[in-house]
Amino acid sequence: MIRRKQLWRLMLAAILPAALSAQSLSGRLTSSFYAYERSDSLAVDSGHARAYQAFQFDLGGKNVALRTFGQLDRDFNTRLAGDGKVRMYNLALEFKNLGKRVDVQLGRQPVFSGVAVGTIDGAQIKVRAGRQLRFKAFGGGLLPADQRLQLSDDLDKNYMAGGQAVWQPKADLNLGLSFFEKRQLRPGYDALRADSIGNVFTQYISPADRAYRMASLDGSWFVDAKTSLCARSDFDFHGKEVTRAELSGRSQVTPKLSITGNYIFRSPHLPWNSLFAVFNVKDNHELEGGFYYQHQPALRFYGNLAGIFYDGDQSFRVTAGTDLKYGGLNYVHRSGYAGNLDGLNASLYYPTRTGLFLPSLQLSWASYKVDAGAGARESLYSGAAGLLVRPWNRLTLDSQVQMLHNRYYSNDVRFLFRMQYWFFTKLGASS
Amino acid sequence: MRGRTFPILLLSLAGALGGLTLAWAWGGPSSSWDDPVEQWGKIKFSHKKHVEEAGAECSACHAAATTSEKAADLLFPKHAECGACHAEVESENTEDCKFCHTDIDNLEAYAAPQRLDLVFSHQQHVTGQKLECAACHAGIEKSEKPSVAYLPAMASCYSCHNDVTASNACESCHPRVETMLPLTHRAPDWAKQHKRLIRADHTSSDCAVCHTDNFCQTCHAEATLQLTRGDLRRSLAENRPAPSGKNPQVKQNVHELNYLFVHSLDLRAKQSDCYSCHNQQTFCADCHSRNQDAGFAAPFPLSHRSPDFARIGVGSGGGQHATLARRDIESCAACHDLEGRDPVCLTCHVDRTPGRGNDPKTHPANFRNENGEWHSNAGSTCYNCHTNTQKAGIGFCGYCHGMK
Repeated sequence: MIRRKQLWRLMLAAILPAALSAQSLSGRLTSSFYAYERSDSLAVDSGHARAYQAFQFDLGGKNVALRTFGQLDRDFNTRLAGDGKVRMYNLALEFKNLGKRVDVQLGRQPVFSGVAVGTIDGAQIKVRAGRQLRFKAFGGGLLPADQRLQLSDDLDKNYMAGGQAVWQPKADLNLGLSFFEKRQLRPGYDALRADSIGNVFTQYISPADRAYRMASLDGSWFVDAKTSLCARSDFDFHGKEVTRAELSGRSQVTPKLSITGNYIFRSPHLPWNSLFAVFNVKDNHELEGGFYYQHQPALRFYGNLAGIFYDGDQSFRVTAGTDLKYGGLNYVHRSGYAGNLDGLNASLYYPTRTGLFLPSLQLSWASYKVDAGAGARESLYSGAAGLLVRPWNRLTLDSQVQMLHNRYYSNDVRFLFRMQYWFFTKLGASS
Repeated sequence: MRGRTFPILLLSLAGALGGLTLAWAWGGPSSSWDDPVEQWGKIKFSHKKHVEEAGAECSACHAAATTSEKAADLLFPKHAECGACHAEVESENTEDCKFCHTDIDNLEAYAAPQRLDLVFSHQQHVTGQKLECAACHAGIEKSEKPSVAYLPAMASCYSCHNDVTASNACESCHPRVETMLPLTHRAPDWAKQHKRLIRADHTSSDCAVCHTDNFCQTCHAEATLQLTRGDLRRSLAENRPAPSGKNPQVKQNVHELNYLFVHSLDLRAKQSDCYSCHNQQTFCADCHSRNQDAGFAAPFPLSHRSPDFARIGVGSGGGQHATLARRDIESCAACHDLEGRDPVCLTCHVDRTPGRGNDPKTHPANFRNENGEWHSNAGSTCYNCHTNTQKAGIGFCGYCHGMK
């Protein structure tokens, strides 16, 4: 209860200054309905009729804004655990351009700061220190796994904090150095253990928090109008090793042809103190190359080949396709350690009556084997036909029929309907 | 029913392919800004001479702009309007035509712009909001020849359409927002490229023209049922309703309908960094351990059924599971490193007979041979397997600290 009181106080504190200085109120309401059948196994299935209500309200002022973004959902046919919960993705107060240099955000908010990505209940500050330097710092508690409106317990064991410095010596060159520390509480549990003479007993295990402490150097450089390079290197302070390094580039070799290349070094992405981080494991490497060929403005071909090299094995990915004015077609192939797959995807759409109607059709087929030891390949088919209607620019009606055919669903038909409405009001305006 | 499905799907696929061919062959309405800009170069026109030097008002030539309600309206002055000042217009001497026209042998009327992806009323902005022309067409008074450079860019619109002065909803200006993507976003590998640019904070200001944090969160927040997003050009079928998104339907899918059945390929092939959106410790377990109490009813990798999957004993090499774990331990962790229970590794990888070399080999050479957290943290991961004797010469402590 204390937590809830604190949260309400925080919200009130956030809303008041925003409301007082708000000049506009904007919002978006999205109501969705999705009916489908779910198979948990070959023999067990259940019908679902899920409804979702998303809301997004922003109170906007010149220098202060309150942002909200959340969703309710429930199943009207088969109740799922946690149904009816309110998920809050964003509930943050923004102070912008303080001293023309500083932005501050308080509340529940996303963080995109180099190596750190996530959502926190906390604070974030961004400082423009000059034309060439920008700084960002953030800190706060982690969200409950289901994003419900509740502050986490044990903030010292459930937090993420860090920052990023970005140096932009030229408009086309950015260098970023980022850092973050994250602790994530792991729940305790009872486990069976044996003593020295084999007697089994129950012991309560209280595992250490999952710990991450990472830094990353990122760079992006638009060498000229035709060529760009990006690089990244992540360093794990706990493990004292580089866990990922990446170099990618793209170049327009002719007016119609562009090529891309990419190299990635990876070591396993695991928390420092996961038991899985103590094993003798090998890194893997990935090489990727691709092209785009813009044959005509409305016709483009593309292809991509990647090889992933593991300890004693490898995987290959191939993608080839074409983009058309009102559709696309692509083929994917996977082989090697990761499994085998051949797939074909096609989509077609056609906007008519200046956006009033948008019919669309999407089809996919795949033949796959997820494990080398599997017998025959499995086949998958799926398709969707949809119609979007926008009778008024503020209202969109969107429906889609989906069909699946695979090992579990011999003839599964699903239905999606969504209605979306948005508004914008200038507060205090006479009209 | 099963027998009918294949032909229906194949026919649908054939129909789609035929439709795609038609979509390519038949241009249909324009997709974006298809202003006939190549025509503009056929007129020698200097705004600088007219505005700065002659002192003409914008409305003197573009009178129609004050009443125009469509982006596609042709607002250039008509031939006769030029004649109000230029006597050459009325001249019968063709040489005089060259005063304005660069190619008098191929004179043609200006075509109206094709701006089906934009709703714009000059009247509302000029008359209603009383904006100066230069507010959007900045710098045009200094231009010496016609150029698209003086058409307002999105960033210019955003200076007012910022959700404070005016709405920033895409649909407020773009009627076909579902099919509209910036060129950069149409790159087949845009999902990866955008990450690289954003990590280095290269495009943050550009992104903000169209996107807010909420937009990013529709992908970058774990909500296993509904946060998926993509775009139509990736040609994958809709999966789940998304909570937000200014583009319903077609931009709301990351994973195709059948992704559930093939996602392991992407995980092992590192096609996607699943954990950038999904929680490593809970997401996978949601399905993979659903029936854990019922034995092997949960999805079960075929590799685990190999007779050589786990070889027990010092020096045995561990069998196939050791090979797979060295190669790609993230796949192991996806199912086995879960909250609320022992990692399955503990079944065998425990320090039963303390002492080096007595148990299955687990660590690489020189593994954490410095002062480690085991000295100060009784909850250290090490004590999952090793016994914290806190005495020299005994058990785990005895590995380094001999009997005193």
